[in-house]
Amino acid sequence: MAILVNGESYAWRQGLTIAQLIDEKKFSFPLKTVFVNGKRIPKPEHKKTILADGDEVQVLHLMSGG
Amino acid sequence: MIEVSFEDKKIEVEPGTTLVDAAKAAGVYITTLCHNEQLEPYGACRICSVEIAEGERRRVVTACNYPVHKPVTVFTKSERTLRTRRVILEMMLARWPKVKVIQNMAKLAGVEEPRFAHPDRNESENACILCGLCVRICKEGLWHNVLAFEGRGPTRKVTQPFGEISPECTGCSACADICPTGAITMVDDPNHPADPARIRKAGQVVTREMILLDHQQALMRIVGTAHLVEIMNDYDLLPVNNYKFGDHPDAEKISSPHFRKKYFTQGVPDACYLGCNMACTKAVEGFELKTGPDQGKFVVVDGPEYETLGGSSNMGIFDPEWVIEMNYYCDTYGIDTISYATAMAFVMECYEAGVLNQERTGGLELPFGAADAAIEVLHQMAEGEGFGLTVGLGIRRMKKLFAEKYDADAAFLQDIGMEAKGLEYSEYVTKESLAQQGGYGIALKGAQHDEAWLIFMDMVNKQIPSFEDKAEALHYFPMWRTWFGLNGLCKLPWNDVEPEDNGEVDEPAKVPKHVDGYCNLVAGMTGKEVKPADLILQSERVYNFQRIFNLKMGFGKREHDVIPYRSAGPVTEEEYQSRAERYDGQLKEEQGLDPAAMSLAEKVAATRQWREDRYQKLLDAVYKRRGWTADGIPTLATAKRLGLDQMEGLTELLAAHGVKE
Repeated sequence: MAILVNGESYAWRQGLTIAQLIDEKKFSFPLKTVFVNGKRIPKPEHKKTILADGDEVQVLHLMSGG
Repeated sequence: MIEVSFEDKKIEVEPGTTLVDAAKAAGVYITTLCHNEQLEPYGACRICSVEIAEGERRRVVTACNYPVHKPVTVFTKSERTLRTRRVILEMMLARWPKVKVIQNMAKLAGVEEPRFAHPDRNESENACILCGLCVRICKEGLWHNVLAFEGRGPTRKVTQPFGEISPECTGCSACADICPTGAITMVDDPNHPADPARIRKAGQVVTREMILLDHQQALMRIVGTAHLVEIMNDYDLLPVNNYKFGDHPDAEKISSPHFRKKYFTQGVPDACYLGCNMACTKAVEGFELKTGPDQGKFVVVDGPEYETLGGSSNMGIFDPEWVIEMNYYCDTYGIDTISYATAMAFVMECYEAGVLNQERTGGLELPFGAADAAIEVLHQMAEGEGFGLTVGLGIRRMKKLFAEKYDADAAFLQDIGMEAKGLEYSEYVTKESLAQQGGYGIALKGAQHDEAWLIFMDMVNKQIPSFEDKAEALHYFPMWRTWFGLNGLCKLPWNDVEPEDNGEVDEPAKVPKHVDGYCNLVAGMTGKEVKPADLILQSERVYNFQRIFNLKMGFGKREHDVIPYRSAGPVTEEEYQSRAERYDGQLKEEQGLDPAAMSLAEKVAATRQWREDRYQKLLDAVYKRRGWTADGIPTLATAKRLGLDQMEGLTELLAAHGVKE
């Protein structure tokens, strides 16, 4: 009962959405793109996209910074 | 959500959405002229007039500025809509008969000859049609506000104040770029670029992104780099108490929302480069100083930016007005806020560790958070007196002094003294990003992040897991960032605003579309076509020249790329315990050890050994990627590849350090 988030295991639960995951991981940096199993999920869909057990999530932070 | 119906389509939109945006989302075409997505709705030309029905009531409205607040039906092709548009176009065509954009719209609407004659008929193909796009992009998009309408009715025209070219006009070309008729043209730059239009086009890409995307991205126009405080705090990267920790419950007090609400006043273009609409410099106005030679004066303070705020948390100080005061005096005295703050954080830890005491600080109590004493040290530094004289030496010299004069543990001072090559670290915690440790440690001019900021790629995205991956990043990014320095360009427009689709490209961290834009700038200026790899090669030449210069001056070898252990891992047991779950997990997963069977001291030692070993392996990988020897010196082959072997004395210099091929 886990998903992979940026290569690391994260506890999965029924009904977990992308928006909740981002909130729980404190991924507050706004310049990021989310991929689920390699498919880009646009921001307006984060609240309604429910993750499935075993999903591979990549939250790509885009800033190279400084 | 509210339903908007068109003749053959329906869509649900958020309340407040304009009819033009609803139509666009539904795939329905509505003709517009003075409307532009970069600007606030204006409703000047009325070309977008459409008939709507809300309940029983039917009427004609302008779609560009009509917000949806209740269910509405829009008739984009009704007789009333088309008749209204035709009359408007007839009037425009009567006044500006040769303007292409009006001719095309009239043709589409079925208007051939206007029924009216206009007393101010203008036969120019490039006549100004008073759409106001130029006036609005100048005001809303660039914040320059040097264009305006003058007069009313038939005498209305676009002009600059008093009809003269304003000295405030930077020639950014946004007005000419947005003008639909060609009424505004640019006079070519006196520097005689090869292709000025190509340069302007490349610039407009970033200008447009700033207007459309910044408010959803980095908020650079709104709060500048200060937005990083709350983000760094969330990611355990905000330095607290000399980089011991990466977050603090009081960080909110110095966060950007707080500054935006209470202190920041500047909403105008910066003095650093007036043509840039990133305009990231913010200011605090009317600030009354509480200390120092200007005490009681009301002043304007330029900032604070992220590094100044991060420096304050690094000293354990979370008072926004103290930061503003420190910012003002550092600027006034000509002292770098980063070096001051990092040096003070070191001093405060020395004070808490007993290396320093009131006798040694001239009576000042200097634990973390000692705001009053810290600002007093700043004044003393500027005056060249008291304990300020000692802090003004910088961390490298203080380490030596404290070891010699106070018999302090030199190894401990080396661990907590956050400098490399004599330069104080900037304000990021790097313990969980090996690549960034290299970014600081290998940087040619000392521990600054100008060469590489790889923390998100490495620590958060986990995009560069192997030593080779990190080495590649520590080749590309320092070379790329060096290129900005070579050309006197600011690097913030490269990656502090990004194309909307940047997340979908192969290497988003490089922001490839913007790199292409810089190639266009070079080609537009010089007339010589360049590719991204050519720009990297330009930097590689200079970067290796600088490494060789460092070698000549006694700073260019592996022994000079050392970093204080505080930047790689927990020095103290207190630090280890503050993130014990993380470190225990790494002992288990990365080293195969059983933390439950180890004492705290053993865990700290094992963590250190593993992390220091990784840093050495990183150096090996980076040197190899850059074509350097294991001692960090460019090989003769690398020097030849880059054309540096023509430097007088180079062969002898390398040979003197054992490098012969």
